[in-house]
Amino acid sequence: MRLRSVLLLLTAMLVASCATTPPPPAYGQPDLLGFLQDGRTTRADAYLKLGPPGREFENGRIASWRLDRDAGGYFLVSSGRTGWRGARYELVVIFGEDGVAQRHSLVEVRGIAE
Amino acid sequence: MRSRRMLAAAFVAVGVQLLLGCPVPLPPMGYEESSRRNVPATRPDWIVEGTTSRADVLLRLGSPDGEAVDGSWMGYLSSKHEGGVAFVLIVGAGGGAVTVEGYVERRLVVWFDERGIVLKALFEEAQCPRAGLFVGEGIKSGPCMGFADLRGESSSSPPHRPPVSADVIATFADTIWVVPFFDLLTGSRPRDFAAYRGSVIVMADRLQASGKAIGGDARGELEIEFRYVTDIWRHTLGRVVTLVVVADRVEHGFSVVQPGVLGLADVEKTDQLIKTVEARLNRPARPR
Repeated sequence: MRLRSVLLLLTAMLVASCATTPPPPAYGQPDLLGFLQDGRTTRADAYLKLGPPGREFENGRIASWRLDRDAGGYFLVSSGRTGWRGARYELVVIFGEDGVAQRHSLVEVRGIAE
Repeated sequence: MRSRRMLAAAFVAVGVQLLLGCPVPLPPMGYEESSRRNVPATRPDWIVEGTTSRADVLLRLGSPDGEAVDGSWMGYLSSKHEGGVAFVLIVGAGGGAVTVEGYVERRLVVWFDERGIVLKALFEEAQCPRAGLFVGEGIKSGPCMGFADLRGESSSSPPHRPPVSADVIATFADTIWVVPFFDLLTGSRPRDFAAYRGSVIVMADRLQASGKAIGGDARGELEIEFRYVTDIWRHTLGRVVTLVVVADRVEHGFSVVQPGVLGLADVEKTDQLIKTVEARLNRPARPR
């Protein structure tokens, strides 16, 4: 009886040690930026997909969106904050006069560790 | 006689120890949570005066941490913790600590002509010690580098997107705001929180704050759009009441204080701030 109790307790401890908490829900999307193609994607496409940019430069010719990434992929982060907490990346898109993306870059603002 | 001298020496030693605190080494923590990490260690050689454009700079570094309203310059800052020492103190019935920590700060400023082409670029790196006092609430001196020295050239505040609605509902001068207020994961105050004193403006669709870092010269600006707010709290600690606004999983704490150096809490005005934000969000602040 005593041996059975010990075995039951040991089994319970082993099972408990293997138990894991479920991973947090993923906010990211794996193909969030897949729509973006230089020479083809328009400003309207970008705004519809990503919402209004966090920052704009040169009267809207250059637009940027802050992003972070989790197991699910990239997700948008509000630019209305102090500093870069919570945002590791920034998507910068240069639009031509015709409103079509000319160049873009996903800048790793906080991804680089020295 | 000899035993009395030894006893006196022991009291002095204990007293000095209590005054100085027990030194605890602080290991390097790397880049601050709010700091970018992509300011290079030297002036980037890809920035060529007369050739590189603003677009080139933005595509390589992202949006700046400070810039002129007229676009004549953009600035990038980074701050990296190099370690330090904390002196643990016994204060009354509780405890606290005085910290001295070293930071390596970098600043890259790029000036542009009216065509958006680089005129010049200046890179600086400096060792910046920061002192902190933590007794219950904590406070630490701010960064050494900012853009205040460029303010004479033009505004150092990064322009934000034009508000959807520019209606100002209420303005609260003399407000202390802390971000992040508490680390949401650990429940403890993170080491790299920033505290500012300035004014808070409640607008129809957002909350704006601007002020000067407490213990430093750096300017801070904050904008929280109400559509990103997920929670609000009325945090009470003794006689201090704080409005805590949670947005993007970060807690921002706001407390209105009385004018003057002491900055004593102004509970009545903080309650007004809380009620104003509650009305905009159409939800009550939960007590904490």
